[in-house]
Amino acid sequence: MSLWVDKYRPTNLGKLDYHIEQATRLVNMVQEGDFPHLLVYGPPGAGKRTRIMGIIKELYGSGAEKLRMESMNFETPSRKKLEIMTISSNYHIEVNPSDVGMYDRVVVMDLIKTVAQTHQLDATGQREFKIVLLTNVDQLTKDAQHALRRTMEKYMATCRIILCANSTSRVLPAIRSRCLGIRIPAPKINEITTILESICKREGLTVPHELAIRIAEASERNLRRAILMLEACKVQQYPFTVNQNIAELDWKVYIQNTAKLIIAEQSPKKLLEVRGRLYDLLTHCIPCDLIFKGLLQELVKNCDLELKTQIATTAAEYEHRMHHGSKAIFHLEAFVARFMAIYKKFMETSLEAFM
Amino acid sequence: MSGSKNLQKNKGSRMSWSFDCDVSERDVVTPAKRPKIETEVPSLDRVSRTIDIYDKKTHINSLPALLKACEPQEASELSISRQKQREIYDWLEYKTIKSKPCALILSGPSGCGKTVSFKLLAKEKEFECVEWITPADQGADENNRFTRQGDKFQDFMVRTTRYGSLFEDCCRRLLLVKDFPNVYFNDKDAFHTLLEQYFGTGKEPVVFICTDSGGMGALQTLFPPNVREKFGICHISINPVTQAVTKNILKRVSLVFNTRASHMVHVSQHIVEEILSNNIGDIRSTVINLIFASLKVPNRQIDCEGRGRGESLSLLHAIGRVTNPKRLVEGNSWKFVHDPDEIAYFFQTQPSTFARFLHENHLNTTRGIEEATAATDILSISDCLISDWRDSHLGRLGLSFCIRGIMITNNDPVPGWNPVRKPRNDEKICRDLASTETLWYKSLISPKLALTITFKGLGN
Repeated sequence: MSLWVDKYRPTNLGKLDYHIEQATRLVNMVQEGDFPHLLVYGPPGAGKRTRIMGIIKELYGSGAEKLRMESMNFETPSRKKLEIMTISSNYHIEVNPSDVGMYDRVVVMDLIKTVAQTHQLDATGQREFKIVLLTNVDQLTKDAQHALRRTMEKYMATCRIILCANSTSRVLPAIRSRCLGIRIPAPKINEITTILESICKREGLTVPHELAIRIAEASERNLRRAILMLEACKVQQYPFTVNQNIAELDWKVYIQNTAKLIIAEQSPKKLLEVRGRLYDLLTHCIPCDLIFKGLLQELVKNCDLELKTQIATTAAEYEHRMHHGSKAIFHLEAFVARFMAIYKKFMETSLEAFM
Repeated sequence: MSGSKNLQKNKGSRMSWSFDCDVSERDVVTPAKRPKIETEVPSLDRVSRTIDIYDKKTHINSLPALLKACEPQEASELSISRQKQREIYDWLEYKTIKSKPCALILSGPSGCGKTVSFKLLAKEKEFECVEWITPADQGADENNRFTRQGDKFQDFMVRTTRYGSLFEDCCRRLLLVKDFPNVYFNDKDAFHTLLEQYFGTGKEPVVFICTDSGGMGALQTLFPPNVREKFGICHISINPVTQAVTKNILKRVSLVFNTRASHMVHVSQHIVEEILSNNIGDIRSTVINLIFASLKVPNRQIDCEGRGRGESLSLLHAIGRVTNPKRLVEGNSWKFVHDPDEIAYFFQTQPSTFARFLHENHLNTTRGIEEATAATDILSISDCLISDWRDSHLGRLGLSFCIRGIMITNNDPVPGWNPVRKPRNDEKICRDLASTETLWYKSLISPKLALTITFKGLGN
């Protein structure tokens, strides 16, 4: 049984439900037969990968749909063995280099080299190039991005690189200028509700319009999350009711509780406890910038305006450092410690004024 | 006498191919302005006796001579046990048959006295040791041809003893191989062929001295059990020197030092005890340490702390020193008992590991949140420095910065027993939010499916 997300994913560009005009332009671009490297960006759950797969299918036909999962092995210069999962067809290979953390440079260079060094044997009826799809490019380290820049130019003849990112702000300008940027905006609430309703219709279910709107709003305009939520709702309770509980992601609650801990007491001991919780979040694959964002949003709720600016500045500073460093926990913890110090001082002075 | 000795030296012990060694020998001994003491070469008793007597009258002026002087002179002074001495005697006495090849392997940890003991015992049994020394310089000969190291070694093994020496008539000779040519470690078969050849045509016994080095030494690679069995090679294994024996030897050696080299070294009981406490069964290193610990250095206080074979600071100790910084207060100024830079020096090859350990453990001894803030801020900056791979110096700088920073910010460490903890491994973090989200909802939608992927939600 596959999830509805996969089951009802549009398989080609013609079947997309929204951004129709953009889709026709993509089809036009592909029909020319060749295109530059692409940088597809947009918020999560907007349909970036769906469109990329559509482009690949448009190029190579249905042969590109035969996917296989393989693990590839790499070795760093310091002889550390790396293993990474790849999804590939005969014509493309998809990889998420940020899975290997700070060693992503090795993966990016070696992968593109191995893919791009071989030419297509029979160029008739085929494209002359293969496609390398790199996801989560904004998580790539600076080193990997610099490496990517060189390899992109070098292997232009035999491969096209499609980069998939949430925001271009963390992609080097040098890479941005070498790619054709395609922005995929998040779907609107009404577009999501239409899709949810059409899925229910195809599943033979009935969904109240109000529930669909609630799900769409709870999903923060993330279509994937909305569909997952819908399916989770269906499992929990069917027939649907308008006010039924929508399963929220548990880590949001977890971050809220962590923030409560921080507010409750400010001491090195508490900091240790918070560190344990941060580690939990990290090992559950919650991206560190989301943790940062979640913590900040929760923490500033307890501060007055003057403090808010101070804390936002601090958060920005450590978040920036986090992207330069390699160990997210260091910076998260530094932020929590700084907040604790500021908050404690604030509480003490306000208490004194009160006395 | 001196002349004949030099002749012997050239003809006998040092074969002409160990040219390099001759040079270094001269370099070392000549500055001392003394006749050469070559106790191992002359096997004639009277020669060595004369030298011994001569020795006792003079003072020793150079370090090599000092080392020479503390070599054992008789069997009772040896570092190996009586039983092992007996075994070696027996082999020399009964196993070696004139003009027949036979072989012995002596193995043991480095510095347990294998070579010195064997040479001494062989001398007592009136054997002359001819030692193979791998030439370091692969010079061309007079015809500008290069000889392969393996060929030279083969020459040594088979032909050295074929013809008797012109100068020696009363004693027998044996070959001593300690320094195996490197070629044989890559090509074991060649070595075994050579052994076969030796056992076919060799005339004198050969002794191989192998250092045990944790499973990969010459003993395991060149002499596997089947080879030993095939050629009937005897094997005597020697244990590390025991504490009691080391103590005796140090006693004897310190007597020699204090009487004959009192202008250079002064051995005190305190130093001997400290050296003994660092002893790991390596008598050579122990003696060398003893000499250096008791060297008389004018106008400088020598601190006697942690001297051993290559002092190293363990990770746990270093973490303890940083998280529990001790300060020495002198008047208005103060300094750390353990120099931060010295700690950083020991771990400069692995700055990120050290930083992670520090991060895991520093909060245990931090008193207030203000100190913790400063320390975490420093760790955060040092992570940025360490992570930059473009300049290798930045790693060291970052490490030094974070060690210093944590030591300085923590001016009043919380006492208590804090075992050093290992940092949690977060290298395997997958950062793909989409897949995480999908997995989590999958666990809601069909718990059975998700179980196989082992995703557990966070407990609140």
